Amino acid sequence: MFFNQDRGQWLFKLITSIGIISLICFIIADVLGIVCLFSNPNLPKTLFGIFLFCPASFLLLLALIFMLYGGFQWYIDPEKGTTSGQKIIISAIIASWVSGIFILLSDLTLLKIPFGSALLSSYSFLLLLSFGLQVYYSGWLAIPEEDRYARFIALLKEILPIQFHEEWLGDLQEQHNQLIDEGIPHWKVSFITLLTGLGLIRSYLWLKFHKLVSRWITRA
Amino acid sequence: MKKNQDSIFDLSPKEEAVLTSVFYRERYGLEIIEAVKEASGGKIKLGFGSLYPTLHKLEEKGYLEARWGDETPEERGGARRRYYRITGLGVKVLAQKKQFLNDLAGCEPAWGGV
Repeated sequence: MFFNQDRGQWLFKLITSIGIISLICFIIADVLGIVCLFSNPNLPKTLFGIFLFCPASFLLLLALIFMLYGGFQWYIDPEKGTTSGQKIIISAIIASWVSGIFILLSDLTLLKIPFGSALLSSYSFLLLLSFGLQVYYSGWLAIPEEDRYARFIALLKEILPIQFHEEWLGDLQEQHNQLIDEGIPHWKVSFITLLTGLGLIRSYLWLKFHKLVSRWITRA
Repeated sequence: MKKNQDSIFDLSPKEEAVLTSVFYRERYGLEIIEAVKEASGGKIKLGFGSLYPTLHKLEEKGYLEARWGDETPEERGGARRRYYRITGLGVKVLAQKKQFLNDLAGCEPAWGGV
């Protein structure tokens, strides 16, 4: 670890709190902006929308920089660790800005719906991300490596029906052990295992949905 | 007969890959993922999220059959492996698809081609 743990934890909590407050301000500002634009758009209203959108976006950007800085300090391997997170956040900002500015400048009623949806979904996602990061860093990383894996498997056992445990979780465990034997870094093994676990949940949901549809078709 | 002719179009590329991976010998889930990855030079990565639904569909169509392995390896936490192997119908459908693609590639256009 290249920095002091206690100091880092305190700093990260502070940074995350700033981030969450900024995001809440941002969402309130955008909701106001959307409401304003939805009711009879005209030039003053559009300008008001831009006025609300720009400072709020600045706040969000600031919050994200703070959060990334906090997250960055917690990684042993900063190069690989934050790349995917940064990409997601940058994509979200670009998506909301492009759609936001386009709609603010245009006056077509139909386009306000995707604008509202894009803004709200991307900001909700970012808010969830900030909470998720806080939970991840303060809770999950405090658990020893082996316990984390055992807890994850226990969680999957709770979610997946018992008839899939032996095959699916057996394959998952075998893959996990193979990756460790290959000497792949622990964070990467955990990440792959997490994705695999989500894949298993997806498989289960697919099977459930498939059975439901088959039953409906048979009845029909 | 109609169903049999249509079944070659029933087979998605993913299903075809999984079915081909168990053509010569039976394999279990993780082994199929690795076989597909190796054969494609790492370009195609079949995830757990799509593997089991694919296996289920193929089993449902009667192209695959499964059995539980006898061994209980330690690296799997004592869980048995579930092995999949191609059925006679699966072999037939794959052969039909291959034949169809060959015929299609060799098909001369009526107007003599470009």
